[in-house]
Amino acid sequence: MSYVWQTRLGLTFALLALGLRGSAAADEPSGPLAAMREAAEALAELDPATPAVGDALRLHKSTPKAAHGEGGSAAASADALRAALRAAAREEVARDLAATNPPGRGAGIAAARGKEGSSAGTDKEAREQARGAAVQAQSAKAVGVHRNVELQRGLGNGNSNGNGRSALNAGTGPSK
Amino acid sequence: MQSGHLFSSLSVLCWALCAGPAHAQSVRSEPAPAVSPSAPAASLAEHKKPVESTVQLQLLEGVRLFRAERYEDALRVFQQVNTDEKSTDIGFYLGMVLHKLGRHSAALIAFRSTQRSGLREPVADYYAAVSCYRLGMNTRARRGFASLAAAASGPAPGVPPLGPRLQQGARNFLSALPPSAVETASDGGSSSIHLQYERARQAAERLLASDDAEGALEWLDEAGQILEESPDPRERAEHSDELRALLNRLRSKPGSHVRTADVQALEQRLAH
Repeated sequence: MSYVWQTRLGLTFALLALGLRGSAAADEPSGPLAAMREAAEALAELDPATPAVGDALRLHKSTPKAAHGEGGSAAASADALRAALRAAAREEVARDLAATNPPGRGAGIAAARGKEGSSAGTDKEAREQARGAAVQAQSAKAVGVHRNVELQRGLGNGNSNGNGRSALNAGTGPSK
Repeated sequence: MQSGHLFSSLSVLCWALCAGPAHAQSVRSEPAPAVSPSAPAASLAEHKKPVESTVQLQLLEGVRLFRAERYEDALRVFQQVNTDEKSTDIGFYLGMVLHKLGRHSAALIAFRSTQRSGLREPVADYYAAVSCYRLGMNTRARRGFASLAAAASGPAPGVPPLGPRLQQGARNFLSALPPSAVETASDGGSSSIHLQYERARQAAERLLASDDAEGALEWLDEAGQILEESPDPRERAEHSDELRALLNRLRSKPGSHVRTADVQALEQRLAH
């Protein structure tokens, strides 16, 4: 093997090793403690007014926790937002379905056909009616969930003082 | 000849570069050592290695879940580690997750165990200060953030420095906290310290009555730190006696998990 090829091969190995070492270092910050430190630093709360995820998770059950001196949450959480997004998406799907299949359509057709004295297509009409009713029900449910989430969020914002509000510190905690 | 020398040099370089991370990760990849009956002491030490590596793996799994914000799952993993193998710094992991789950009182208890084990982690101190803030333990929160902000300029030797992000966070929380009892007192509100102290003491009493000795200790710590800020020595002495009586009650509580060392540390602080 010529000198040039040996040099190239050597350099290639060196670069490869450097790359591997770099990626390994990036993946593993040298043990669980360092990894935890890094993750905790990245996920730390920096703004006193920003809700803590866990606090917000307990929005719906804040009263019993408050009795134990745990801080109640301040505002909307990632979970509440996720639920709101899900509800909004569901609502949109329901609306689209309702637009393509109006709920009254089956009933209207059935009535019209009833007038004509025709019993043909009764099954189809029943299916359409059921479908329309299902869409309506789903839409109503989606709106209900959405409103519930909004209500919860409103409640959180109403209490939003950036600090734990509980039976122990109500009225004396830091106000925002 | 010259080319051969160059090639071998490069090979050595490659080996050296690869050996570093491989060695760093050896704790995870080491196979189970063979146990030799002729050397029981050595074999026992060797036998511990796979257990340690299992713990490391479990902890890494917990960290991965924490990073993915799956806090309930992460908590389960860390609790498992705590049950199976008493890792000395498990309080650090547990505290972080409990804090994220909004269980601030439990988080403070976990962080206290971390301090007891001698682990110094400014990130844990930051999380503990935020937990204090969320619970309304304003004196502890203020002291915690102030100490972090002060240490940012020159951290103690052997203690990892607090990153710039958390330094900013500490400043944010400090500015959001209400003025200290001493500052309020100098403005003419002399009853402020007394009110804050009473609130902390009552919280401790309530938790003590509901058999939450560890939670009570956290509030007694807050009450003690409020008293330290009192400019009136008579008031300080009077309330210190009250707190000592509560600490005695706490110590005599049957089934109390509160460590004697923690109670003694608080008593020593009250004595000064």
